[in-house]
Amino acid sequence: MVEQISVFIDNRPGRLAELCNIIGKNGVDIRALQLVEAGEFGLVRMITDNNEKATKLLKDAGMSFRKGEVLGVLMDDRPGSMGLIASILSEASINIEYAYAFITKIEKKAILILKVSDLKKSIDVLKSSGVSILENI
Amino acid sequence: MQKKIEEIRKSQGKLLVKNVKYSWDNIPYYKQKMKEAGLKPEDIKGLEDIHKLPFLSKADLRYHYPYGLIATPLDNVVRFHSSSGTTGIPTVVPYTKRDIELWAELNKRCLETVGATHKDIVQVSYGYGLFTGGLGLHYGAERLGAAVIPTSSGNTMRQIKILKDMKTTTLACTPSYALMLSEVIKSNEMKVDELSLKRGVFGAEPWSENMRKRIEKGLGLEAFDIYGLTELCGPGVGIECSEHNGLHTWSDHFIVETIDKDGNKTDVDGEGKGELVFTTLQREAMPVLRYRTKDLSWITWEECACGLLHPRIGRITGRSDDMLIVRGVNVFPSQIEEVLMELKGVGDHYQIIVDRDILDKLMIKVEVTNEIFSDSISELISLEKEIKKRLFEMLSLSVDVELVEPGQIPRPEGKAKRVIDLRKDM
Ligand SMILES: [Zn+2]
Repeated sequence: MVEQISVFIDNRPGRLAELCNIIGKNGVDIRALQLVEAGEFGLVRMITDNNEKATKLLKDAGMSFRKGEVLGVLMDDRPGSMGLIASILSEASINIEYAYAFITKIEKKAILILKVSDLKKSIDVLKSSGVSILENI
Repeated sequence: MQKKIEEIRKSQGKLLVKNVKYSWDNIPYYKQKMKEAGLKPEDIKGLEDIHKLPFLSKADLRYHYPYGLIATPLDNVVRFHSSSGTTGIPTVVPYTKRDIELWAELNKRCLETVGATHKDIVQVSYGYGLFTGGLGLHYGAERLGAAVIPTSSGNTMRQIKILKDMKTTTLACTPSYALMLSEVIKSNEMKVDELSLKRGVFGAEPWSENMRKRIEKGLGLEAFDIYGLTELCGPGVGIECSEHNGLHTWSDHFIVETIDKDGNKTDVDGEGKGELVFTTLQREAMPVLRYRTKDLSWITWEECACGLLHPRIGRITGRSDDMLIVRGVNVFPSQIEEVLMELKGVGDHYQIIVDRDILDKLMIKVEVTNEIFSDSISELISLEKEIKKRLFEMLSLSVDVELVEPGQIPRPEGKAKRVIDLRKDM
């Protein structure tokens, strides 16, 4: 399981960069990030190397955010990997609410972040299919 | 001239004395209010005694919803209208047959004042129904002998086709609707000289000189401001003459006063500035004595170049309360707050923005606090929708709702500025 921070932002030019600066300039590394837009506002989901510090910085900046647990999966960086994981979960009747992927320093490996309807069950089924689950990133 | 005005004011006094007695005899609440003020009908001997009478407020009317202030048996009532008040309890206004006739007469006079005759074609694009705008102008124009086209509001393309094909000469609607018609005409590459419009009678919401210029240019007509309140009958209480320097109010039907915010009379011999207070002189079903309009303006009996001796009020410059008029609907910020407060965490930081992009727009910005924050876009969108839905149910107005980051709503001196009315600069 991986800890993710979701932040509410106004959907206007430059705002995402400002958010990244709030965190990045203070020595916290954003490992993965996803922006979802919905008209006038947006949601930024991110995974950092120091969530405690990141949330403190967000709090000081007066932003609305939430910490939550998501599933982090290490997969091969090749076509079909993501589909495989999706089908394992679907066979176990687990819904994927959203997912985003990013590549890592480990060669030929990518990390997939998943928000699923049943976290514990997902870990079980993926582990039994031989998929590596990340504890942290 | 001064002598004539004195005569008019004297006859206003006579009508007032009669009306006070009539109200005392027929409306228990008036009798009670006057008794509480230590008054008997005979204490009101003329216009100079009017300040003794207690005020009547919108809250009084609501409190007596629906029939509490009717002076005649319901048998004699032939019509009801209702104000667009939106605090849950509307204001119901009854009319006898005579009230309807007199109301038609007032609107006829208004149309005459702006130069309309029986030869004119009058398109009434005010809403018809509980709202008084449509039927008020309709009856007035018919009484004048003009040809009425009762289009009511909406269906803009059809309105324009009728304006053009039927050679409408006189248009009656809200100023924002008039502006919208002109913009649509322009965007359809129609020319103003394809229309036969000579004049427009626009009211039911405040509008500026700037807007007057835009409407006049866009529709090729002379624009006149008309004033009215459902509580007094509807449109037809006051009308601008060709001087465009105030609205004549019909002195044989209404007494106009001004007061300050504490209720002290500020007009001397009929001249003054402040909140307008109206007393009806001829209404049967629901006479009102010293009704506080909350509209800020001025009154004068000064001679008008047009020759009418009826006193003038200025165009409404503001409100003594925080009521907003949006697309003809009365909106109190407190109503919006009430709706927002029902949703946990929503009402803490919000801002109401009123703008005019042809039509009035009402927008509510709501700060997304940690309390209402969700990691799910669909949950945030349904929150937005829920706020919209509840506001619509309360106000009968569609409202734009925008979720914003915390801290986006300025808090001068620590207190949020809740209402921004951008229309004032237009
Ligand atoms: Zn005049």
